[in-house]
Amino acid sequence: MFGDDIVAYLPERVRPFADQLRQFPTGYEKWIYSTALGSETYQGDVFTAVPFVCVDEDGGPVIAELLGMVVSNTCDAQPNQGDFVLIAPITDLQDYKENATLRGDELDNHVRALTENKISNLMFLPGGQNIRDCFVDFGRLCSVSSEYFHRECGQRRLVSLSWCGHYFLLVKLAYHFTRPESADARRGP
Amino acid sequence: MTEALLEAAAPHATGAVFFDWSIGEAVESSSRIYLGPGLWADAQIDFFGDTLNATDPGAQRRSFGLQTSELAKNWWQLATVAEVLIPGLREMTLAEKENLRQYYKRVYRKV
Repeated sequence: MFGDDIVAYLPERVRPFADQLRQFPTGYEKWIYSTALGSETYQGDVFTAVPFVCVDEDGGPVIAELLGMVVSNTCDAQPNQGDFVLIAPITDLQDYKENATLRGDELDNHVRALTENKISNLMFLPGGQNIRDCFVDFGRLCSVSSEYFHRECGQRRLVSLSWCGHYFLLVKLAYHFTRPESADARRGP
Repeated sequence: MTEALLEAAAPHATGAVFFDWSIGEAVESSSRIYLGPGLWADAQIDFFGDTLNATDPGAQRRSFGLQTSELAKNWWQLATVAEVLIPGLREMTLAEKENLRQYYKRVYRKV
């Protein structure tokens, strides 16, 4: 039905980048980021020093201050649009490798899969002008007050995604959240 | 729910490749919709058509309209492109999950 040609399924403004997409992951670092930061907050923007809160296995809150990517839709991420902005934590790849429990080939294979974006819940972000090699985790999303986010984090944006980069983010988000359940899932009616 | 109905529902929850699964969902023109305990109704679903209609006994005809169809098209195309674009796209292994879990334990601190 599709063949291997994705052009027909690309949005109009991403079609000019079809060749680059076909060569993925080669050249990924050349088209993932926007060359300029816009005036608005966009889905996929990366900010530094974002507070994250999770509930741990003991039922209590755990916190960290990390880089974060806006996952909320661009419309919802504007000031006074929604009460909260949904943010995904970003991990520095070097620090992750240095503190990994995996070893040897297992670690090498894991990092290779990660940097080739083959792991569904992780999105690799290559190092650039304002950012080091790192990855986004869609499995640890956090809601941050929109008022706080725009007041305290809004000026700390590091990078914004290009048209093509944003499309790639949507591709990964769509796959991660809408992939079919396991055959083991015995859901009730 | 009878075993027969369980079996009828099973193909929708396969762990098969997303492409195969989504095609299966897309081309299916007739399905059964669960309405409540013991209540099932036949539904004609035009998955990517302009409307998605379901009828059930004693209820008015429900029409979700174009928006539902467009949303379905959108996620279906995005997720399908993901598999074409990234061959070998997969979930984390148990060892990889544990590795990430241990890393986060180091990064996050209790309040």
